[in-house]
This record gives sequence, structure tokens and C-alpha cells, in this order.
Amino acid sequence: MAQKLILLVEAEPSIVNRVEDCLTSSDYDFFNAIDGAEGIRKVFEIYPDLIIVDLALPLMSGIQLVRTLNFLKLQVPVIFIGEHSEFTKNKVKLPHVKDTCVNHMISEELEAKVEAVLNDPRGFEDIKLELEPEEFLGFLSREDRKKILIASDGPTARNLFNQLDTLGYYELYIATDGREALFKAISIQPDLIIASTDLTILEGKKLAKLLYILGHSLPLIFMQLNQDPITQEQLSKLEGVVGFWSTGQALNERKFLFDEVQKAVSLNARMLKNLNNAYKEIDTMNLKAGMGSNDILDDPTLFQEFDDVDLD
Amino acid sequence: MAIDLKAILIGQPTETMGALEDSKVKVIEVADCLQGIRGIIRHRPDFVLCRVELEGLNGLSMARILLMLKINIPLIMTAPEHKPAHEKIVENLPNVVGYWAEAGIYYDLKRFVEKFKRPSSNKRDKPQTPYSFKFIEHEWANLLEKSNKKRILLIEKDELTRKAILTKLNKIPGLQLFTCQDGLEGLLKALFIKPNLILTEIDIPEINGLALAQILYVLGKPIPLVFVTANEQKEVKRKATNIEGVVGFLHKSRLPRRGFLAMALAQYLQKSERLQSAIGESYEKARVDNLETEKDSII
Repeated sequence: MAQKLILLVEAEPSIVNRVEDCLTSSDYDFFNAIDGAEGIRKVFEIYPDLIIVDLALPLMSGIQLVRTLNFLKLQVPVIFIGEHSEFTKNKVKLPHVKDTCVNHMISEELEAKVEAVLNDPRGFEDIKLELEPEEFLGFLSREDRKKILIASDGPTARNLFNQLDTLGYYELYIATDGREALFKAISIQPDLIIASTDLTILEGKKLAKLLYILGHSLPLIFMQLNQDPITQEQLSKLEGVVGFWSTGQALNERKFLFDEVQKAVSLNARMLKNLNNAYKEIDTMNLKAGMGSNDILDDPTLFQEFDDVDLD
Repeated sequence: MAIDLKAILIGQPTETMGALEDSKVKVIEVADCLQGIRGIIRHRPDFVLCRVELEGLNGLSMARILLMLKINIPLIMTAPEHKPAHEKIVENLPNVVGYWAEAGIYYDLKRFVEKFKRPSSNKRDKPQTPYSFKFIEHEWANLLEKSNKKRILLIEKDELTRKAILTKLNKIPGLQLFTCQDGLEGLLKALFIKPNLILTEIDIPEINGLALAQILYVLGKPIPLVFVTANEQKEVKRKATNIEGVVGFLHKSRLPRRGFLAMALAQYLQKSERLQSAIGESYEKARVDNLETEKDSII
């Protein structure tokens, strides 16, 4: 049998030890992440067969972590662990959560539960990503043009696309909701993302956060219909955010649009490099500092909406 | 309302230019099909005029490549005089809308543009099917991961062999693995994920390995490629060696040897890194073998 990879997302060292002690079989290869963001990144890095997640993680809760993974279309099976009180408090039903185990029963029960989940054949679904013909042609052309992803509602995105397309020197991509924007941003790695704050499915703020959590901090300009200083302040703390536009101005003032895009794109070549270097040094402390401790990942409502999202 | 039309002319006589200028069509002229394909990708013209017989890549091969890439821009093939052999091939190419003798081209073209300008035939308004890329879950995780891992695309039609090679590759750290089963899927997937190396058989369905390597090269995406071989003829191997981007051959019989694949792969990855910068330079001067011979496997 091939070795099974198990990822434990748990901050408390004593619990980590307890879990490690009970999963001694040489059939298992064991990994540990200490918070939700690291957990998500590790899931993509090692692609485990099973994730054991503490319900009460710092920064991003276990539930948020699982929701996020579901949102990102991964169906890796999950076992929740935690104190008894947390289980009574959090009675959510989440897809792909196969079992639970209270902390004081780990030594007695966890091994059998792990074995049962791993032996239970899980479903795999292919994931599809679509590109419009003109986007694919952009993808095929030589890479001497700057790539720009425009994420907004259909008419706005199309309008900006057409305006910028007349210049001929950008490779342009379109996304009409936040999830599409996320996936396209990661696979295309644009030099600039222009995104509405009020994207459907995954709003602009969350898009920026998820990109950051996944390690793809791409330069991003937000567009807002009515400029709102409070939101702007919040957003400007996010890694990668380089500017704010009023949607009306972008749509109606051609000169503004062209000048700003050009400015952003030339500025970003340098910034992107810095960001990538910074990413290499990311640890949890960084994550906290970069995102503002009481802001981004602490927000309990942050990933709740992922629930409503169609997870097909 | 007047519609702005854009056309690309490949190896055309001056009459073509004149007719299009009189019809107020924007024209981009290029000398050969290699530049033609790149121009089509870059400028997205409304239609293309191309002489069938040209140095290097010929017009019909170009039409095939565009078809494979699902770039459905109407092509008009021209020749100094009609050849029945061409006509037969053209019939099988749905993206070729005409095959004209160059003698009467002025009037043919004016009529064509008139018709094209009518709103009902404006291709740009028709909904186009998007390109769809399919990934298994593990590939998807690879795609979203931020990493410096090397991406490998394995194209192998036989499931058992595919799994056997994958199992071996899985044990090598620092790789992201992607697979597919035929050349067409492989081509599109390769263009999308930009792997560091492609491992493929020569004999794969839809587009064979040689054509795949050539097309990547034509597109200016010469992804380094290793052929997994069994008992190919010398002639096929010789041809394969001559294609830019091909960095080596892996004989299937050697794969079971312990540690062999890991070592070979490390060498190939190193070689392909060097090659990729070198290819970038030679690319402009490229000449491509005629893809004509591949027609049976391509269509």
C-alpha cells in the first residue's frame, strides 16, 4: 500500500504530540501546520489523503478552513478534533467532514477513525476551467505584453476590456465573479488585477485575502461605485492592493483609465518581485502583521458566505 | 454602419492588397505561415488569405494547426493555379472557406468582403465556445499551489503504463505532475500549464508526438520534450531529434530500473533549462518541417 499523507492543523503542541503518538503506523506520513492559513497552503503543497483539523484554531477557525477548501473545490476528507464544548457550540454540517474526535479521546479513538476514513474510498471529481477564445489567444501570444485581469460584473468588465483592447498592447482577461477571478488570477498570474469590491460569490476583499493565503499576492486595483474611505482603509492593509478607482471614472474617462493602468503596470513589475521575495519569508507572525491582527482572518463572518456558494 | 474589418495576408500577390484597400479592410502582410500563425494569434483578424505553397510551413498545415487550436478564423487559400490535390485536402478543412486561383482574385475578394460586411455574416457576433481545461483534483491542487516545483506533463495513452510511470514520478520530490491521454488534449493543456518538461510517446492519438513538438515550436512555446519510446523506427527517431525542443529519449524497457527515471529526469530538466533560453533566441529564424506528412494523424 502506498504511504498515506496526513496533515494535522493544530496549534497546541501537546495535542500535536498526542495525535502523533497514536498514529505510529509506518503507513502514514505525518505533517503539521499550526494555523488555518498555513494549513491551506500545506494542503496544496503536499495534497494529503486526510486532514485532521482543530475546530478552534487561531486566526482562521477549523470551520473556516474547511469551508475555504470546499470553496477551492478540494474534497480531501476531514476529521475534526477539539474540546467537547466546541463541538456542542459548533453544530455545522460541512461536506467532506467524515468524523470527529474530542481531544481527551484522541489516544483511544483517533487511530481507528483515521483508518476507517482512509479505507473508505472517496470521490474524485474533475475540475474544469474555461477560457474565452480571445483569452486563450492572448495566452498563446508571445509573452511580451502585460497581462491584465478585469474582474467585475459582466457589462463593466466587458466595457473596460473593450476600451483597453483598443490599445493593443495588453493581454486581457475577464472574470465576472470572484471565484472565476481567483482561479484565473492564479493560473494566468497577471501583472495587474482590476477588481470591483462587490464581486459576486467572492467579494473583492476576500479575493485579495485568499490570493494572499495561497501565496499569490498579485497587484490589485479595487474599483468602487461609491468611494468609501473606511473600506478603502481596510483594503489598503491587504498585501498586493495598489490603488482604488471610482468605477464611474474608469468607465467614462478614457484618459484616466489608460494613464492609471499604465502607471500601475509599470510600477507593479518591481513590486511583484518584492512581494514574491517577501512571500518566501512568510510565517505566521508575518501573516498576522501583514493582515492586521483584528482584521482579516479574525473576522468570523469572513468565510461564512462560502457556505451559500454552489460547490459543484 | 460600417464595420472595421481586419485581414492577414500571407504570401499574397499585390492584387489582393489592392482589392482589400479598395474595400477599406485593414491589412497586415506577412511573408510566411509561421509569422502568419503568430499574427493571427496576436491580431485576431476577421479573415486570412494565404497561399497554399510556401517555404517552410505550408498553408494547409497552418490551417490544420489553427483547427487543432480551435481558432476558427475563416481562411481563404490561394494558388497561382488550381490543383485538384489541394482541393481534396481543403474539403476536409472546415476553417478553409475558399480555394481561389490568384488570377481572378481581385473580384473574388471584393465580392467576399461585401458579403462579409453584411451584419448577418459578421462572425464576431456569434457566440464562441470557450476553451475548457479539465484537471483531476491533484492537478488542480498543483495549479493553485505557489511553488518552485518543476511541472511535468505526461502524455500516455495506455492507462497501465501511465500509472506505472506516475508511481515512479511520484516518488521524486519537487515535481508537480499533470497527465493526459492524447496529443490534442496534451497540446492545449501544455499551453495552459506551461510545464517545464513534457514526457510523451511518439505514437499518441489525435496529434502524434512529433507534430505536437512542432506545433509548440511554431507557436513560439517550445516546451522541452522527452519522447518515451518503445520500438520506433530509426527514421522516426531521426526526425524527432531534428525538432527544436526535443531534449531526449527514454526507452520504456529502462524505466523499471531503480532510480533510473529520477536520474534521467534531473538531467533532462537541467538540459531543458539551458535549452529554453537558447530556443528563445533562435525562434525568430525558425523553419519548420512540413507537417503535410502528418495529415492522417492530425485530422
